[in-house]
Amino acid sequence: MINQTKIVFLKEIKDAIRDKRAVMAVLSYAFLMPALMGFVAFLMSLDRPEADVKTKLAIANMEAAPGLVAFVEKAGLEVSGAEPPAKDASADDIEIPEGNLALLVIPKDFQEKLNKGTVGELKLYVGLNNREGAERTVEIELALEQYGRFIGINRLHARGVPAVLLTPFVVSKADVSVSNFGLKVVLNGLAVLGVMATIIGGISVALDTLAGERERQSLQTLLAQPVSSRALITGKWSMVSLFSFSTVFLMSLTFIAVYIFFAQDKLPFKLGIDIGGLGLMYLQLLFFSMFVASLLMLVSIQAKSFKEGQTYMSMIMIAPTLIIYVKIFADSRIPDFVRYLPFFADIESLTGLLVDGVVQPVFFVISLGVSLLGTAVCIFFTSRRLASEKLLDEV
Amino acid sequence: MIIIDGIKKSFGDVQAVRGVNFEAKDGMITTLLGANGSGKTTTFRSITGLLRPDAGAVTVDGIPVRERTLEAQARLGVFPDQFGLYTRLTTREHIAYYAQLHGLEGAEMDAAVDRVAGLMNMGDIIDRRTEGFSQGQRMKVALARAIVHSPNNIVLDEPTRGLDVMNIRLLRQILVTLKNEGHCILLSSHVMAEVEALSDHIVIMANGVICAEGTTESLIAQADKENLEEAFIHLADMSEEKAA
Repeated sequence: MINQTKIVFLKEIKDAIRDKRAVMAVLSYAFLMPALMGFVAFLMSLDRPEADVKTKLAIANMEAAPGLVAFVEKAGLEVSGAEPPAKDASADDIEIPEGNLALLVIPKDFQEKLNKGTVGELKLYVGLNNREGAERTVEIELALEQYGRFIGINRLHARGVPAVLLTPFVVSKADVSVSNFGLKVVLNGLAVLGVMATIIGGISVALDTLAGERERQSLQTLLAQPVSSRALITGKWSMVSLFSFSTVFLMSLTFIAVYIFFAQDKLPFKLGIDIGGLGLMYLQLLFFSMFVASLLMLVSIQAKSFKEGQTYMSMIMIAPTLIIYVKIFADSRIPDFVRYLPFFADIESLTGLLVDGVVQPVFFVISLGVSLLGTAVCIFFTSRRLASEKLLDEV
Repeated sequence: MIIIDGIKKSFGDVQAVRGVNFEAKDGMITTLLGANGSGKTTTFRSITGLLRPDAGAVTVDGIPVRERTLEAQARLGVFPDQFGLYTRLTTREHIAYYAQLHGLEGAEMDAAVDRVAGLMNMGDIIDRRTEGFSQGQRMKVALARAIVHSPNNIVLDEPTRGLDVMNIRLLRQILVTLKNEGHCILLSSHVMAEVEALSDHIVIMANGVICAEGTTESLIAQADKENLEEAFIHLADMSEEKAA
């Protein structure tokens, strides 16, 4: 049987690599997806605040609060003067001077109220057009609050109250999580892309090797040869597995190249995976590709033609698409048991390897075990279907 | 030699074959003649191991097809009604693939491929991919892959369908050559002239049973008609009347 499986495998490989449709599916996903991810990383980098550029704040009536102006300048803001808005102007009518992120309007009696110890009112007009604007506005608000606290401490200090009483403790913050949430969201997406790559790479060849065989009426002749249905299926499955795995392997290589040469400095994270982790990741993806290939073939053998098979595959693709959305948008709300299910466990294991560079034994073992078991079950039912007399009546 | 011994096969309520018996001997061309729906395809599929009869048995060179399917299939060359070629493979790759499935390899396989390519005059298409081949070229590839392993028994399902005169003549010559080499040839056909010209033994099927068998001359005599076509129609009609 091994020799016949090899003969079928080699013929199927020869046939499949001449199939432009199948090769394009592999290459487009393997090379375009990482390029697309790189482009997204580039776009993300455009939206990040640049550390060496000062936040620009326009201030109306600067002369009314020279101390405040000096304080915010010391806090790192770039200050410029501006005309005060008309008294009866509404917020909608007010324009922030060009080149500034916000306009601070200081009332003319600000210093007088400060001296009397009454509450002065500052008006801050901001335009939150993008993420950078929002982040820099927080910087302005923080500087103003700090100035207010500075005045308050000075007042109490003048009355003999030690400043330290106003600051009973300080909070020191450090991120000690193994991986932060944002990073996980991004890398969940990468793990999902890996899972999808195995499916996309295998669909066309899986359809051609069984549904296509039925459509071109070559199946009957093939089944009349002295070769068992199991050897036929195993040979064909080996070819589909190779296409599935090649797609995800090439995609990962391209992604690594894009990461190292183009996106590494632009992304807010670094991959934790090392050479050993890569080996484990490829081992997991190999087993997963085998499972996906067997699943695709089980679907393919139900179809009488390539087109019919494509319809079934479109329906099948809903499942991984759903998983993608759940993982990206509702990962924190997934019940624990769901993470141990097929596909979810694969993604959990891959994410752990990518983010932390360590294998998560439970998910890794589940992934490999389910892949092996699923492959055996799918091949069994596909072989049985191939050996069925009913299949011929449907040809 | 192929022996069909009382095979029966039903699909649901439909009895496709109802106790068919006949023999296809070595060194002879046996033709299965019957209208559409007479049970020819079911009989062919039972011979090639694609269907398992509900009752009865088929043996190929003494090997029971049902029990030892792969062994029996190894002694058969199958030429189906649909050629079903792989359009991205060349003629040589097609023939070599089927030769390999029958256990040929290396120099032996290369020699077998070259032999059938020569026999079928396929020098001009041997290294061309089969996409866009004419019906005649497709027939040659299908026949070449069926006989590349020199099977003792060759089963052909309506082999001349869609072929032009030149290719029909070529096919006839090849079948006669194979017969003279001692092969058992079993074919089905609708073309009376072809059946008459080729067949040593004719088996007429109607309604899932054998209604007559013999040589062209004996069937004409049995039906008391002027030619094989008239004899076939008469014998098939009689069978239908009996069944009714």
